[in-house]
Amino acid sequence: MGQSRVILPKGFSVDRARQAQAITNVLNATALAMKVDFEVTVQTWNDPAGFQIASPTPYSRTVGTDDSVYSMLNEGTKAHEIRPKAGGILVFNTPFRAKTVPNRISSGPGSKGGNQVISRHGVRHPGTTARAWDTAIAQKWQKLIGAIMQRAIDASV
Amino acid sequence: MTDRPQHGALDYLISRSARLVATATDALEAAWPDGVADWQQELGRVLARYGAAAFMAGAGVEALSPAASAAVRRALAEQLGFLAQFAVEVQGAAAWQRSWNARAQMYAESIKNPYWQGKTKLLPLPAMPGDGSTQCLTRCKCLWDIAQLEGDENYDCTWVISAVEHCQTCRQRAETWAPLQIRGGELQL
Repeated sequence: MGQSRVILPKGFSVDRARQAQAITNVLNATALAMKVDFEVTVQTWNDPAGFQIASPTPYSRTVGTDDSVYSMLNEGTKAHEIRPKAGGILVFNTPFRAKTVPNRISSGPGSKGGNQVISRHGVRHPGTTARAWDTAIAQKWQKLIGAIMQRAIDASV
Repeated sequence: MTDRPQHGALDYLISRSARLVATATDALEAAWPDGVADWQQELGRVLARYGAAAFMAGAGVEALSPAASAAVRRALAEQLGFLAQFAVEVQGAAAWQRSWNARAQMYAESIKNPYWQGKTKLLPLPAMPGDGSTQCLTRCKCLWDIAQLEGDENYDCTWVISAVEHCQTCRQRAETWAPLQIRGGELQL
């Protein structure tokens, strides 16, 4: 069975408080950057979702929202029937143009359409393609976290 | 005291490096498909020289500390990686593409990154103008306004959008990071 030993450079000391601070700064900086990107995806909404950063443990951060519409768009929906309420009719406009597109960290003007459609029987909604903003934002910052980490280390030494 | 950034030195360095990049790219266009390796080397030289100058201009120093040298080298290595991919694309294409001239100019703009690292005193901030994390990528003309406060390692850092152009990311940062607070060296949530 092999043996190993740790060789530390002479005169090298680790300031644990500064090390912890660097890690905290990486986590906070990345969370703050991601929160802005989430806010960008709702920038043009009439009633934009709000986002909060939480620290469930000293060394983890989450960015989230309790907005159900945002969650629905982020995850997408299956095709489904939309029926008028009993005794009523369904009224909607076309051609609808969404404010957001899948996998894009942005939001545009969109349009609810100028032509009114009235239906007695309802319609089959084709479903909403998942925007997958959480994945897009995570992938973006996964690539950029190295620079954030380096800045946090530079600030701590 | 607010250290409101001055763009003069950065604009000057970008315009100088942009001219050199344009000259090298025009020469490549004339010689293409030959000359790609020489062009890549020349752009690398421009980035190395002007990246270091940009850091010094940002920090207001006349020489680079070891930490600053390391920061400049890292920024350069990142750009050289992108440049190498670009060179492979240029070499392998069937015809010269006009968009390459504009794309080459983005390398001149990339010296913003070391400039802002110098300007922000290597603070643990989430992003730098022109680092590619905004919709406007390296064309970003925003700036950090750093206010050093009383006490040890206390700063208020405000993302300030440019009057001439700003994308959705920059507008949102200006609203949300107004300011970001660093207290005792720790970036606050």
